[in-house]
Amino acid sequence: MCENCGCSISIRDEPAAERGHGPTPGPAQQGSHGHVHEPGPAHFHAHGSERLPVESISVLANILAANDQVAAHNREHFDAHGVLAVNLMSSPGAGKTSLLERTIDAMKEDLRVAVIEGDLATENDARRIRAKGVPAIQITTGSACHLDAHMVHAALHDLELEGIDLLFIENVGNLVCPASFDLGQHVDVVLLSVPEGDDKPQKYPVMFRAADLMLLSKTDLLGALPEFDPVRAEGSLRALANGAPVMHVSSRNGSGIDAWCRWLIEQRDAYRHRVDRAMAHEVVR
Amino acid sequence: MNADEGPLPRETPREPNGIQDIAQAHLVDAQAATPETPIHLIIEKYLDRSPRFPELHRIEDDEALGLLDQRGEREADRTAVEHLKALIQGRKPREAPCGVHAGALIGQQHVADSEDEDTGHGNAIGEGPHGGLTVPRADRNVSRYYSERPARGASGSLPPMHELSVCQALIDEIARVARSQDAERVTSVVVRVGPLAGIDPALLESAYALARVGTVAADAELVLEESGVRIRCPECGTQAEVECNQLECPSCHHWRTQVIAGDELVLASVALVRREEPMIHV
Repeated sequence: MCENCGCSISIRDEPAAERGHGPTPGPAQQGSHGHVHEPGPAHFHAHGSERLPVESISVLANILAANDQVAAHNREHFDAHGVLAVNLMSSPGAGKTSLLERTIDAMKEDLRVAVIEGDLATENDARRIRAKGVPAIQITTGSACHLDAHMVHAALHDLELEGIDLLFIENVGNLVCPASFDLGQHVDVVLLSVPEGDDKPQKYPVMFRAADLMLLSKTDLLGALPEFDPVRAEGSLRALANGAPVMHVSSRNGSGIDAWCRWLIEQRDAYRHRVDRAMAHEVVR
Repeated sequence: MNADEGPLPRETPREPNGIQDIAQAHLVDAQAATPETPIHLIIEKYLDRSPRFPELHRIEDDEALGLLDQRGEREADRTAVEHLKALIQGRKPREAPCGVHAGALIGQQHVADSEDEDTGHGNAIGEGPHGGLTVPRADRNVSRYYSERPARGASGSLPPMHELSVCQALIDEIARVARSQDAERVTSVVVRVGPLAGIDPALLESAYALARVGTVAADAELVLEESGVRIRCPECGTQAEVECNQLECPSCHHWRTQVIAGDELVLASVALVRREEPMIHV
């Protein structure tokens, strides 16, 4: 039963434990269950020779409500294990997997990492990650241009979250589609590689508007590509009313990796703090 | 294994055009069976076709079993073929541990078996220090979770646009409203989409033409209400309509504004015809 309105809609993948839809929907999700709250006025609509009564029903349902419910469910899985989930997005070839390889090397001692890899085809990326001694699940989407919450949920069945601190979800390389689908992540990180040009946030506002961190990657190429202006790149992010930090990294020469890892550890500590406080709150109640 | 023998997917209906084009792509797909891409992998893909797209080819169970019988001789494929046959014969949705139905291919890739053995990566699965994959080796070629309905974004060889996934979700919502209203059919739907929803209205329309086929919304017109982006400035209180990539306040140029409209993707209303009450003759 939905606690918000008493309907009997439940997500399909509810475990045996009693659970509503997950966290109370935020304002953006309110009225998202597709109920019919108020029928509109009936009118008649000529169709062929008959006159059939056509009624207009007001719905106001978030079309991606089903995805968002599974995403909330994924987030509960993560929170139950205290796993910070990071959704890593960029265009293809911006260096997501190389960054992960570097990151795993740098953080192995501090945090236990796992990776979900999304690609249209091949298990190449998961192999690269497993070679670093870290569990990696490959999702091959066939031809889908993004990961969605259902795919990530299915992948979670093959991943032991116990003992993991940090889960990277490397989304399908694409600056458009992944932005529309909540996966249950806590943090969105978007890479912008130097060869792509500094105006990408202006060209793909939906993706960059959602970023909690923008990583300028391949900064070792800045000398060779003077037309890329990091200040302009940051300005085009700010024009999207996004105050997210901007960091420079190079997976090739390792510069900026330390700062990025520190940011991750800070995010993870802050997240653990939030989870602990929420749990203490539950106990008190 | 010869790609040219055995029944191939039968002809698809001649209309409409968009679907026909996609169906053609599927036929080419089936003919592409080679020792590297054995027939069972192709059949697996066809089995899970969407009931929403009846025009797209969906192989019949009998036909699939016949093909698998012919092609089962190859030693390397035997386990996978047997498993697939068992699945078809049972035809029960394979449930994931907590009951999810998803269509994504998880933790495995359709690599030719020979290559698989060369690299030995299959054997390495499960050996990660934190447990790694738990998919048993023999299951790897058939680890698709069979779904009653297509999982979003995992719809086989449909064109790579997320508008189609969104449309499938839209059709689900419409069907839910139609059921709750005991509707016979839906005549039109109104969808409100903002520039920051990340949805291209033109693509949404063409995806909708595909997604509605065979559903209660088969004849329903899609009416798109495109809104603009509106922001509110916390500094000076201005509310204004702005460009989707220039969200700063037009009055005071403060950049930390709040978007108050323009990121919505909402099914606003559904026009439908209710089922007729049965006539009572006295």
